[in-house]
Amino acid sequence: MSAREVHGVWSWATLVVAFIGTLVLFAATERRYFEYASWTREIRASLETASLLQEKETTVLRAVIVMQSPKVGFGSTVERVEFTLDRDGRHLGYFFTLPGEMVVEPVAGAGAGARTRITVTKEAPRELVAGVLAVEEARPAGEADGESVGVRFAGDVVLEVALPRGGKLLRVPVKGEVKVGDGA
Amino acid sequence: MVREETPRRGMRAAGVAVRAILLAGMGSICLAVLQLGDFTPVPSAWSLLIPVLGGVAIGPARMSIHEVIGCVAVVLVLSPILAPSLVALPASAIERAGVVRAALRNSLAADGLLLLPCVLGGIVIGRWVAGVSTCRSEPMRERR
Repeated sequence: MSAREVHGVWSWATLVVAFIGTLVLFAATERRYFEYASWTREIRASLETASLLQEKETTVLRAVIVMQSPKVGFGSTVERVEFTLDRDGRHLGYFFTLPGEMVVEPVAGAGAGARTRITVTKEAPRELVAGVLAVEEARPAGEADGESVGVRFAGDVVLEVALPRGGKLLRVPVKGEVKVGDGA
Repeated sequence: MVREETPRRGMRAAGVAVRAILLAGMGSICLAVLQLGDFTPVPSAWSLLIPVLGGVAIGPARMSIHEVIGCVAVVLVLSPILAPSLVALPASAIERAGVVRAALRNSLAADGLLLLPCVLGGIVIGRWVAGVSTCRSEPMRERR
C-alpha cells in the first residue's frame, strides 16, 4: 500500500469516526432539549386568590399562586413573581417581589405532578390604593366588600431551571382577578 | 482511454460529494450544539472539535485544491441552513418560527467566525500530519 493510499484510508476513517462522534453528541444534547421543551410545555401556574387587604394603616396585596409541574423533570427554584395590575385597560402599576415578600412551599399529596404554593405578600403603594379606592367610590352603593372590582392581575412566575450546564430563566404566565376587602 | 477515465472521474467526484455532505452535516450539528449549550453533556465549546476533525479528515485526502475549496464552500453554505431546523426540532408549532429566526441569525454569525477557522485549521493540521508521515515512511527516496 502506497503512502497516498494509506492517507486516503486514514482520511475516510477520521471522517467516519468524527461523524459518529458528532451524531452521539447531538443525540445526547437533543434528548435533554426534548425533555426540557416538553417539561416547559406542561408546567402551569394559576392564581388561587388575590386580594387587596386594608390592615390598620397599610394596604397589603396578598396573592396565592399554585404551580403544577410534571413530577419527573428539572430542578427549579422560584426567583420572583412579576405582575401588573390593570382595571378596564387602565394600568395601575408594575410590581415584582423582593426577598421576604414571597413564601414558597410544596403542597403534599399532589397526585401525578409536583405542586408548589407561592404566597405573595406585598405592601401596596399609595398610588395603587388611591387608584383602587377611586374605583370603589365609583361603584353603586350596596355592593358587598370582597367582591371583584375588575382589577386584573397578570404576570409571570420567574423560575430558575437547573440545567446540565447552567441555569435558565423560565417565565410561567399567571393571571386572574383581585378582590378588595378588609383584612383587619 | 476515455472509457477508463470517465468512471474514475465519476468515482472521484462521488467521493468528494460524500465528503462535502458529511462535513456539512457535521458543521450543522456543531452550530446547533453551540446554540444548545445548556443541554450538552460536555462543554459546548468542545463541539468545535467537530469541524476541526472534519478538516483533519479532508487534509490528507487525495483532493485537488479546487475540490477542497468546493468542500469548504458546501460546508459554509449548507451548515447555517440546516442548523436552525435541528435547533427548532423540539419547539412547539407556535414557537417554531421565532426559534428558527433566532437560530438562523446565530448560525450565520458563528459560520464565518467559528466554523470556517476551525475547518481551515483542521485541513492545515491534516496536511501537516500527512506530510510528516510521508517523510518518515519514505526518508531515503525523499533525500535522493
